[in-house]
Parts: sequence; C-alpha cells; structure tokens
Amino acid sequence: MIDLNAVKQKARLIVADSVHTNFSNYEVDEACEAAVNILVDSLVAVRSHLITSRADLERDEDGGFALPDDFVAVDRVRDNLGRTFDYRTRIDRYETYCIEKGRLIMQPDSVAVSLSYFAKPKIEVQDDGIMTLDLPEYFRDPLSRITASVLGNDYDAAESLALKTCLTSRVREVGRYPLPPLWGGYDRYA
Amino acid sequence: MPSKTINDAAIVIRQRVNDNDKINYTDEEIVADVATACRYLSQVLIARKSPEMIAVEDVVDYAAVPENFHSFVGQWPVWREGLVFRTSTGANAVTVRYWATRGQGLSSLTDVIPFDEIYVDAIVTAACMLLLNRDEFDTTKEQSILQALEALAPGGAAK
Repeated sequence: MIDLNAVKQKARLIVADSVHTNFSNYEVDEACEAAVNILVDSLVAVRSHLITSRADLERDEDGGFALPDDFVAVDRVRDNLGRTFDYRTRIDRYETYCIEKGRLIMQPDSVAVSLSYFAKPKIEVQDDGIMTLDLPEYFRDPLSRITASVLGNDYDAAESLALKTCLTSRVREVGRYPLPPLWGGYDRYA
Repeated sequence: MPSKTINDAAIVIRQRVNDNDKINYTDEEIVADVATACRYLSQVLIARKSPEMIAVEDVVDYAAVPENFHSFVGQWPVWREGLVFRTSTGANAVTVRYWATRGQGLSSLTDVIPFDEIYVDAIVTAACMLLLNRDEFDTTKEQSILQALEALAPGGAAK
C-alpha cells in the first residue's frame, strides 16, 4: 500500500514547494492522478504481474461479456472448458475473442469465461483522509518523482521514468531466469 | 500578530521627518501615507510569495470576489470573471487559497497596522519617503533602506 498523501508531499519537496506557495492542492492531486495512470500504463507495457487480476464473467443477455470496471488490458482469456482464446479484430472462428465497445465478444459455445486481466490498482480514501494506492511500497518514491515531472509539465520525463521503474520492478517480480540445460543433457541448474 | 497602531508609526515618522510639532504634515497625510505603505508592502510580500499573505475561502459559482483578492495560489477549478468567481463545480464549494492584499480601509490614527511588528520599519520608511517626496527632498537614502528591508522579507522556498 502506498500513502498517496505522502507521495504528494514528496512531490512538492522535489519541486521546491513544500511551503505550498507555487502549486495548489488541486494541481498536485491532478498530477498525482496522472502519475498513477502513467505508471499503470507502463506496468501494462511490461506485463507486470503486480496488477493482474482474475474475473469470472457470465454471458449477458446481449450475448457478450461485460468487462470489469477496473479493466485496463487483457492478459489471458479462457472459457469454462479450459480452452485459451486468441485475439482477433473480429471473431471469424472458434477459440478467438474480440473486444467491442468495452465488451468481450466470443463464439456462442462458451458459456462462462475466466478472464485474467490487468486491473487499475484501487485508490481508497480512509476516514482520516489518507488516500492509499494498492501497489507495493517500492513504487512510492518513483511515483513522487513522476508526479513532480508532471507538475513541471514534463510528460516525456514522467513516461520514461515510469517505464524504467516498471522494468526494474519486472526484474524484481521474475527473479533469476532459469538457465537452459546445456548440451541437451541433464539439468545442472534445476 | 499585528499590534502597532498607525499612531505608534506616526510618532516615529514625525521624528524621522523632523516634524514633532505637527507643522509640516497633518495627521491625515500621515495616515494616508501609512495606508499606501501598507498596500505597497502587501504587494511586495505577495510578489515574494510570502506564505503569510495567503487567505482561504470557500467558493461557489458566481460568488463575489473578496475585496482583498490579488490572485490565486496555483491553479484551481475556479476562475475570475470581473467581480465574481466562476467554478467548474457549480454549487459544490471549492476551497481555494489566494493571495490577499492588506491595508484597505485604514483611515484613522487608532487603526492597527495589519502587519507584524517586524514590518513596521519598512512601513515607516516608505511613509517617510512619500512625505519627504512631497517637499521634494532627496529620498535616495530612504529608497536604499527600503530596498534593503524588502530584500530581508521572506518569500519563495522556505528558508
């Protein structure tokens, strides 16, 4: 969990405005929201597991599947029979899906869908006014710097910073890549 | 906290401009010049982004602009159209922070100078300059004193 109020205060510190005389709270709130969106886009770009979520969708009366509210991007689509579906711009054969107007469209033989997707992390406002973002604490400092870049109107810097952060976080998630067995022999590194 | 009255300042001013016997300058002139000096000082402090000049107000659409409104601190979903504020939030109040000027409505010797005591020297010097200038004395010295006092005022990042 990241305390977004701490992120905003840190962002003010970076842009030398801890006395609140240059930027309004409104500007910092908006910049922080933009920074979260930029970070989420980058997490999707590196296909980070930190924001993957799962939902079981039921076919609605219009014949499609309504996507979850926090949906950002598809990770994997399976149906109740365990088949994995591929993306097409239109469904011209079985075991494919497409997305039209925010709804998942598939051939009529699939009844229920297990959707693995990238979800926007939840922002929660507690009673004492503290706002939290559902991401690891590790992102707190980068998020402050991204917010500061947005406040300085430097979106290029914000985006490259977000991507760099997400690539690093991807390394953290994956850990050590297993080495392939050499000479086709036994697996020395297992 | 503001504690000095214009009368306190007037005593010092008369000493400075060598008019203890109230021959050269009337009380009204001194009150007017102290008021001008206060308004001038508030503009200087706002230009230096001194946090003490910030005021807070809840604003709804078409709310009247306060008399002491100078400009917004940063940006808000609120803008000014002549004598009223407009907001993009309609009847929902937005709490805005704005730079507020001081020194409006000062008219008598018993009025309190709306600044901390630390600024009274700057106000006295500025008022002396205005008075001496009327008689076309050389105010270069006062000018440089005032500039030195202005440079000492807080502002910008916290120091």
